[in-house]
Amino acid sequence: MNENKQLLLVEDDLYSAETLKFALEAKGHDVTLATNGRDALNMVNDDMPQLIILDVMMPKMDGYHFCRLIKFDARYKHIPIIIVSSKIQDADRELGLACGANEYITKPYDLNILISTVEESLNNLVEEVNNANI
Amino acid sequence: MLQCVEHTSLFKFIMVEAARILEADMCNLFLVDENSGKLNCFTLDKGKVKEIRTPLTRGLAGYVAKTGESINLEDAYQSPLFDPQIDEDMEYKTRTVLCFPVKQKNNKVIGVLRVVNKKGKALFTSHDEWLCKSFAIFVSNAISMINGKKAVSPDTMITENMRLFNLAVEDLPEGVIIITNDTDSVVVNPAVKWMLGWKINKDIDKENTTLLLNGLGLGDVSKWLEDEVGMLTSQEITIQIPGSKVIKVDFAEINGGMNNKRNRGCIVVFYDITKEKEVDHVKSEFITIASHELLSPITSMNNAVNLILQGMLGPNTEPQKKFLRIISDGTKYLSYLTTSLLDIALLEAGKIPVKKEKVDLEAVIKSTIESLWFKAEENKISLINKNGNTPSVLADSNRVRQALLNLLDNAFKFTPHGGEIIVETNTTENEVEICVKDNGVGILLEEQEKIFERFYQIENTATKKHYGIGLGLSICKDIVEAQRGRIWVESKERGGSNFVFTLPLYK
Repeated sequence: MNENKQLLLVEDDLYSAETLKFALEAKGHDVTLATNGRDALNMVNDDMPQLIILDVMMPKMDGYHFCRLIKFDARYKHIPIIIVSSKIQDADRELGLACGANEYITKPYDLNILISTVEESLNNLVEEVNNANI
Repeated sequence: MLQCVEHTSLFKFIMVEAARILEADMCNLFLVDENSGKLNCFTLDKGKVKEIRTPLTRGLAGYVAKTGESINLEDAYQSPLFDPQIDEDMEYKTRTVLCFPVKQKNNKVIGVLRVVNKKGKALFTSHDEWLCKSFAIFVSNAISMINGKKAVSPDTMITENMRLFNLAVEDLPEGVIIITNDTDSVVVNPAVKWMLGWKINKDIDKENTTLLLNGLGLGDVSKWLEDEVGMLTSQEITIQIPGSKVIKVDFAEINGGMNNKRNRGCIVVFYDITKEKEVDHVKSEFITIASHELLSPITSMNNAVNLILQGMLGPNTEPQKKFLRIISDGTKYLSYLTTSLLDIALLEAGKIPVKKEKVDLEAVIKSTIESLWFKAEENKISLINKNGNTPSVLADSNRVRQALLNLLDNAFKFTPHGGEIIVETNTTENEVEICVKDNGVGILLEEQEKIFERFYQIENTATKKHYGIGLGLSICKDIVEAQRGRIWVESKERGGSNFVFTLPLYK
């Protein structure tokens, strides 16, 4: 497995993407950006990111579809996915979680809260790997 | 005319039943006396029929008798036709009035049926109008039968009444089912059949009607009729035949007088609200899309400006910080407005499901208050939690938190620096009252009912300043009522406000 600590940000709205990318990079994370689900899928295949931050409403392939493809693929299903969406209804959240997302955060969100969610998920991942090694 | 025994008992029956079925304080019957040109007004006084004569030109009844038109008034005193002297004579305060002419078959007006003051400060509905009209037809028919010296036994009167009643029910656009436990016959009008797509060729009997009603989710009707279950609930149901229809099912209880379990029964009314729902749907769809398109850029703006404010892109000068804060406050406010509008659209479309589960109220209050400590400190307001040993309630914890946050947010707006906001609870027999008290500017009496309306803006009486767009409290009311609670405010100008909402106890 590739060892870099890369985050994949899948978001078609460039303004949202840029602010979030900047904030994450300021915290020392390495962020790559995909603007639709299909590109993102290729990047997952090539780079094997550590965590995916995912928007729902995107052209070509929406977030739910992308999420299912990742979570039902044995090669990738261990990658945590945090959905960040402006679809705020309970039903949307349930659908997101049913597609396998680990977290579902709705807009408007607080940057600090999103970043701490990302870091918590990464820490959990490290613990899981350590436990598995034991 | 009144000497006739049948008349007296008939009038009494009409006045008692009309008042009861229309849920009104009082029902009077007026009959035109052609010889004297006056109206004879019949009232009930301690269970006895009393007769008063009034001039034919006087008051609402006089107007209806003269013109043959019906009247439905929300406030009698607003009408030039109303004669307040009548209230004074009878030591009574008339509010809502429903007046229908009693007409003969040739359309001649022979009297007036007047129903006064709908109970619970409500207004008379179109359904009440229809009921009142049915009573007026019944009166006319009964009087002509008695005057025509037909053999009138109580039985033929009832049969005749039923015939008329059936005629009226047949033509009604709303579906009506009447079912009672003391008879095997039921009333099911044609509207029910086409509304529900109910294909049944043989005679409709009690059994298949009960089965139909049970299938609608009202509850077990047959058990209810036998008084084995306490309550049936009104429902909105969607029916797929032939096109998808949304039908509102309203349920009204019939009780055959005090403690008379024998006559237990119900009237179920079906309204086709498909069109209204479609309009609602389009409206809420529009708001959902519009809000979604707003939420993304607002979030980006908010995040971007906060990154700059935090100095992540290099140091800012003081004037730069000042203007960045203006942008930051603006985007926060936009974000609040957008989520509020979205909340309302979702609530109205019934798309926010409200759970009914055991909620640890004390914990919810505690965590909600803790989340606001920073804000309290910033505003130099003491935020005090005075509740303890609060029992659990049957509610939705997220919605309880939302309601409480809205009320606290409101209290912050109206409490000056150095003021205090107290949250406390009282437990009554069936519910818990949650009170949010402040010692701010208070709310004028005439504003107290309006503040829960959509888009009603409260003016701070001290600063003459408006706050928000008037959605917070109306959302709060929706949320509380969806959990079967109530909400109100007690306040005096300059004496602070006490907002109270209730939630049912978890039993």
